Amino acid sequence: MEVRFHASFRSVVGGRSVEVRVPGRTRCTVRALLAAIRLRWPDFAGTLVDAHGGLLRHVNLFVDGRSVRWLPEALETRVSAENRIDIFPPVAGG
Amino acid sequence: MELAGFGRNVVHVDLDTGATRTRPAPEEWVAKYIGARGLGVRYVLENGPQVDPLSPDNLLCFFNGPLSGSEASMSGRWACVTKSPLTGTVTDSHQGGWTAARLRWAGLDGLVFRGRAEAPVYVFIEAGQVEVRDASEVWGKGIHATVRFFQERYGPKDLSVCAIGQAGEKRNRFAAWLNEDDRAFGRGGTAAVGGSKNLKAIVIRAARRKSQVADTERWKQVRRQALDTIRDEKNITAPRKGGLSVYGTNVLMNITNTIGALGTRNSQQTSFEERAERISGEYVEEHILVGNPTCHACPVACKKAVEIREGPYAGLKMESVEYEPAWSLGANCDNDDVASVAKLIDQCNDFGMDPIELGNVFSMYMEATEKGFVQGPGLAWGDTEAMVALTEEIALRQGVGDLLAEGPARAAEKLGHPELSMTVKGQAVPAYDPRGLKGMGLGYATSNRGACHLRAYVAAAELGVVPGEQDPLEWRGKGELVKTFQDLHAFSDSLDLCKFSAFAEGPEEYAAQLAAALGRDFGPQDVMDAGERVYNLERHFNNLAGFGAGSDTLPDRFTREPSTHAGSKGHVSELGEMLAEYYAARGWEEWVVPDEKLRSLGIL
Repeated sequence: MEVRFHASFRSVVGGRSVEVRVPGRTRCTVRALLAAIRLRWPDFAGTLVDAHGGLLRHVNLFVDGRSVRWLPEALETRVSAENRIDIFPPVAGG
Repeated sequence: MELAGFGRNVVHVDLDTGATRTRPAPEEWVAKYIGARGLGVRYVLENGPQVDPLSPDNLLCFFNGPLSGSEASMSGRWACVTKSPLTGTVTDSHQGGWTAARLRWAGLDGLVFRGRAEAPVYVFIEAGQVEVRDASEVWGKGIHATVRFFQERYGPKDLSVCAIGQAGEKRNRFAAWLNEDDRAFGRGGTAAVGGSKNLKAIVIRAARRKSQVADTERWKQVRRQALDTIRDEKNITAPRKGGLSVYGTNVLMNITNTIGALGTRNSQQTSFEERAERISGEYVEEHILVGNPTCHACPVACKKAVEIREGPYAGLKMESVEYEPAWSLGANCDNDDVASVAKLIDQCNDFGMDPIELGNVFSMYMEATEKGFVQGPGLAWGDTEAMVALTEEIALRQGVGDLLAEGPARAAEKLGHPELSMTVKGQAVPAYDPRGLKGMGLGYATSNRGACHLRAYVAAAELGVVPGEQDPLEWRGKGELVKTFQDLHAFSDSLDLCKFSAFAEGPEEYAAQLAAALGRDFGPQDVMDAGERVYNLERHFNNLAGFGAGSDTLPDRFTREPSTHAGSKGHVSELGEMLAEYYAARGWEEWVVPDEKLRSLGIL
């Protein structure tokens, strides 16, 4: 599925939007998607996910514009190519 | 320069006569209201809440805080405080750069102007002396030419120039002071007050001086601790690594767009969809960025210098394409051309205007044009050529520019369609749609200076960059959250440290630095108490100035028209429910601070 990366995460994946595949799945949990991302880009260790595969604090992953943090099933939320996925490092300003 | 003696060197300038006099601020005021924003508000209150903002009787204050221009990180800030000609409230606005530091190095803590000069003047400050001098040679010039003029006259070394442009001279109600070409006292129309007093500029010549503090060893230690926090790679302030440092404030564009909090076409929509990318911080960094300027004592360097290399604005070099103007002049006006955004911001920097207000007056006028409420050609969505031309007319109050120079609230009223004005207390909303970031909406409604993102920057919690993350679409709990953030920022504005310091520091760091510098016994709770006192002082001023029932509100668009896009789709702002929580947290009788509360805070 297409995953959009923002700010400094773009330099890790080499672009703005990349196709991420979870082997054998067209639909998967956000946790599985994060595992696939970490496997493909080891540089994300410590900046995107923690040692247990969870999302680091201050990192935002949005499913259709809602932070997965506030979705009822959190990292167990199931996503597919139908969903828009955006991932941001900590960002704010004024 | 002795920080511990902060407040002793306040120079009062009577522009009627040209006389200057140094008078210390009352010790009680400094103790209670700290400096900068808090101290300035106390002076403006003393002058009287009923004053006509553009009359000679209005007070125009420029105050450092006790840490301004010191060696403390992110301390290059000072405040302009007055009664606003845009809102009728008390207002304060803050400016980065080096002017605050040079005021300190020149031996002064603040300037208080009253009266009106017969002819244009500026003040020249050096070695603690303030002289009123003839400004007739620079009256009518823009900011950039004014800065060059004084640099040629006095030499650029150790010189700061804080000036008004033609917009301030013409009393445009959202005119802004700028220093060193591009750092603005942006909001509230403070430069119109300068123009009404025939005051063109504040020119300061002063070489760097080390601060004298009460406890030298402790000062070094607590400054180091604060700096380490700012540099921590977990924080967005981390130099050359954190999002704020690498991309500047405009790193926000894509995230607010993603969640449905990026007002578009005068907030008729809540997302600019795919076009937001073309005005984002990432786009700027990749295509037009040429430098990362900074302010006094700031390792973050969030300013972004750009150069436009092609198209009608080729050759333009300016700073900075910030998030706010990129939104107000971009998505808000249906404009995804970043070069024109840079051009329009530079025009604001030269004429001396607030680009948030300008973008909102454009978008109001564009919607009025679209709906057939404008006689004549009006202004089409995204017509950048017309926007550039109209900016000059607004600054100079020519043609329809004279109407639009009144700001979106007054202009929409005169067009017969006040519903098109996205304003609170007469000041335009910034770049966070209240339907997608509900705490920000409550912050706009309850801001003492009219709609403002910086009074209570709860986006930090709603976007999860500070501890205590909050769901942006949940209204419950936002009353207490907004109060806490408002109080904390009222304090940092009084120190005066950059608002962005709060992305790394908190009450502990603020208290420790103030205590070491001044030798005052001061703890984290004192930070919050002083901030609350300042916030209530402002509200007391506004109550006395006539702000009462219904003044804490939002445009109906945010409470009645559901969000159109993304994560917030279908949401409106539950303002009424949030206000009830907020007033309970404040101990206010709705919009009014009761005398009992004022007494408990030591205001009465």
